[in-house]
Amino acid sequence: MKKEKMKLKENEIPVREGIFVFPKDENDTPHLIGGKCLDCGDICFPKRILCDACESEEPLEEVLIGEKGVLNTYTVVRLGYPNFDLPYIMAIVTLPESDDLHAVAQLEDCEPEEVRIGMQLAITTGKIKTDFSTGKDVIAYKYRPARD
Amino acid sequence: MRDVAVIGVDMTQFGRYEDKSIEELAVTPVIGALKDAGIQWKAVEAAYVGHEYQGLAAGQRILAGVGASGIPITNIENACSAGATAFREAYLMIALGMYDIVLALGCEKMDRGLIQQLPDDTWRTLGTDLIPSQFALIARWHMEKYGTTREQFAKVAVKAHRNGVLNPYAQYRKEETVEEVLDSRMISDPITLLMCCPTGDGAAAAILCSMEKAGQFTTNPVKVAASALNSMIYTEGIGTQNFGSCIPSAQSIITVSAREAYEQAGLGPEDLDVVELHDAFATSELIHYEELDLCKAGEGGRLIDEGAVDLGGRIPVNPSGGLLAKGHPLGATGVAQIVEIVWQLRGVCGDRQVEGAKVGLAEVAGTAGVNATHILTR
Ligand SMILES: [Zn+2]
Repeated sequence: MKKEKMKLKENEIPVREGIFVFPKDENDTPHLIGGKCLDCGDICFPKRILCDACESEEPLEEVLIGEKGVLNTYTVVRLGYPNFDLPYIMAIVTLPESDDLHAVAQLEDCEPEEVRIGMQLAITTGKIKTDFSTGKDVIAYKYRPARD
Repeated sequence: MRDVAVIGVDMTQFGRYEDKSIEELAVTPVIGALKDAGIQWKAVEAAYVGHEYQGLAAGQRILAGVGASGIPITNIENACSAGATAFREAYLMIALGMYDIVLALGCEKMDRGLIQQLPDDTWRTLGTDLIPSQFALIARWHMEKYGTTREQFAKVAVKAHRNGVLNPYAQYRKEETVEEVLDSRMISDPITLLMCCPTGDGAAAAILCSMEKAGQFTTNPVKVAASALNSMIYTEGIGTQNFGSCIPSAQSIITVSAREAYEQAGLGPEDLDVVELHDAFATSELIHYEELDLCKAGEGGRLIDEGAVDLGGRIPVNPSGGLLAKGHPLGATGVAQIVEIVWQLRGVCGDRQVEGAKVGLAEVAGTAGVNATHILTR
């Protein structure tokens, strides 16, 4: 993630490392950092140390996932921490890379009235909150309706 | 394992005690429970004290108020299940033969507003750890899957407040209508303010005793028939992989915990007369009906519509007013649920009494995957 920080604007900082990566180049998308079991192939997010689906003793391997997803459920958050811009849409996104794989995310580019369970989503990045100490925009992965 | 009885209980009314320290507040029900049991503090051989935010050795500070008797005092933080976990530790120590008489105390003094969760948790960082919002996600999922309505969720809050009016220990003692619940401030759609439990202060205590010695103190002991404490287990579902809230499934932590408790007690959900469950949000109570096997998956809405969970219904739930009306001083809640069940089984609950209650279940869940279930019988 380190060299991609250069793509951020002056007033932006990334959320902490280990959760997602920015696009490699113009043709790429952001990705979530999942953990893949070398024995059974199960993928989890966020990445854990060991597989929960099998008895494997091998540490999980990093795998980039989450380019697309389907909206599983959502809520419109109207009371939250003071450094978040309210309201925002919080969703559980079902990911296709493994069985019952999900990520919790803020939705972007979408009005509350437009949200539908089952809608196709695509990953993006954007501001999720304001950093308390620096006042900068904290950038993280988000999802938006898939337009294509 | 030896049989264990509850021989003394007491609690403070839940509410705001701004002029009282935790030491002053929490020692009150200890004295009450000792008196109820008819024993001296010196007879207590160990104490377990559940709380989340009361600081170092709060149990020692509180119990100094009844006397420095030198007994082992253990503080327990276990999210919202802290009090229930303290009760379980007391139960286990007696069941395993270590002691005969043990105190379980749950207590909390809280700040107002949203509860801050884990300080550097991934979901906190992303702003997706808000407790009402997590439950809102589950509620929305339930609406989509089963056609559950906002009105049905609101009815849970209405029932809680109706019962709370009858309970002198409740923080809120005011009836609310379905319209008032739905029209109150939207917190996280579909959860409105009146569908959220309040924060507050309070304490609850129970004296546990080996059944063989309980006869010395009471002719009417309440038996601890089951004690289950569970953490998240791997499941193909939302809960494990994302945060400590479960979308109900065969592997819901609450279902796992309840079924373990039913098995220990040799009883089933059909044998229950009264239930105190973790209604931190009105939406979660409705889903807990299903997770505790009080009804089938998807039938929670029908249960509230039919009045089955009302006082006088087939299986009254939260006659105390539950967390929604009685209040939720985090560490106190698990013990307070057990206090209510003991009172219900003794038949001393007055206007909120479930007639002839003989079997009661108390269930309390916590963030990041904690759930405690106890079954009490007489
Ligand atoms: Zn595996």
